[in-house]
Amino acid sequence: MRLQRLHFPTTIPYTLASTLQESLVTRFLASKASPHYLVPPPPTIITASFTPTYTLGRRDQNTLTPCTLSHLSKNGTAAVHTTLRGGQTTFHGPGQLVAYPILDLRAHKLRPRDYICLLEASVIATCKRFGITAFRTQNTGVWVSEDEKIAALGVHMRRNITSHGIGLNVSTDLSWFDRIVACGLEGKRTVSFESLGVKGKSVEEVGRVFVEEMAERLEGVEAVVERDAGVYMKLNEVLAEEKEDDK
Amino acid sequence: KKYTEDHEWIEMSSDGKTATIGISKYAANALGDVVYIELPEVDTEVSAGDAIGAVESVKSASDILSPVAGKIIETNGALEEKPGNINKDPEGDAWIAKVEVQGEPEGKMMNQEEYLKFTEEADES
Repeated sequence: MRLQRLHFPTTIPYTLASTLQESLVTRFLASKASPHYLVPPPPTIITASFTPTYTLGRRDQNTLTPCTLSHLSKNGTAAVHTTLRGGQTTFHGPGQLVAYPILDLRAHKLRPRDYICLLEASVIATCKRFGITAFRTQNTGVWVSEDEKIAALGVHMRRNITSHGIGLNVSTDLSWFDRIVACGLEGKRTVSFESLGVKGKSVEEVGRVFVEEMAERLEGVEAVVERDAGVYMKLNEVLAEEKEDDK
Repeated sequence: KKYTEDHEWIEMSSDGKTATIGISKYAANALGDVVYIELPEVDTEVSAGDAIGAVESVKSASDILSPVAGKIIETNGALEEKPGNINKDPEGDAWIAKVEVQGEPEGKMMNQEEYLKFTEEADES
């Protein structure tokens, strides 16, 4: 089977990637419920970079007080969203590769814990291809030292269909991370390709390498097909009537 | 006790009015060390196939689905403090929720033998 990469060529709001991924997950689930009527989508990885956004994992849902919200949104310059993924609070913004693999783990014979390992391995291999030595520590994610994290990870699974994924810092403005205890880990810092001296790389090309590394590790995948997700820019408007407070 | 393809188990009470739901040993193993469990709210009405919470391990949060329609009448509060218990006794003490049943379980239900075979086949390859 072919792994489909859906790449957004410009920075997008988190909500757009979220809607696209939900649509794919819904389609996968519908096909599981009615395998004789519906064919599942191909395994897909959405790659993009977001406008400044803080996302919270499931555990943090109830910690979003009006005070926290106003601190995080920094007078409306950053969006704040709770999600159903694992993990805690992290930042996404221009210069960070966000990759959301939407897969049926059963089709690739993966258990949830194996999938997390596979994601980490693909990020580590991607960093290596750009001359950065990264590794796992006892804290989930990908690190370049005991205290410096280069990529965050948080996944959601429903009936073994995955959503959410990784955030790999290429040229992210790291000062946004100073405002939170990223992923709930005190005393750790976030780094990027650029802060480590690897400059001039685009989110697009790092994304392409990451998808290649994932394709190599996913059983049953023989090739990658690249698709421009730019056609989905209006997806939120197409799927739901725009409410005043969404503007 | 019956098992679903998504590795949940459901055990009906002798009078058929309530059922206990949890995840299987196989599922707990496949997730790894569980660090957090999101339990449903008591009195929530659920349809078969609805999510009634999630189990989180190393940054992945996996939805738990109810095999049956009903109303949540009790949740296992001990799991909120000691989520790790689900790795120790997922099919006994670490049950997740009890429901007042409002219909037949939907989807494929397997008995212990069938489920064992199912998981063995899933692991082969």
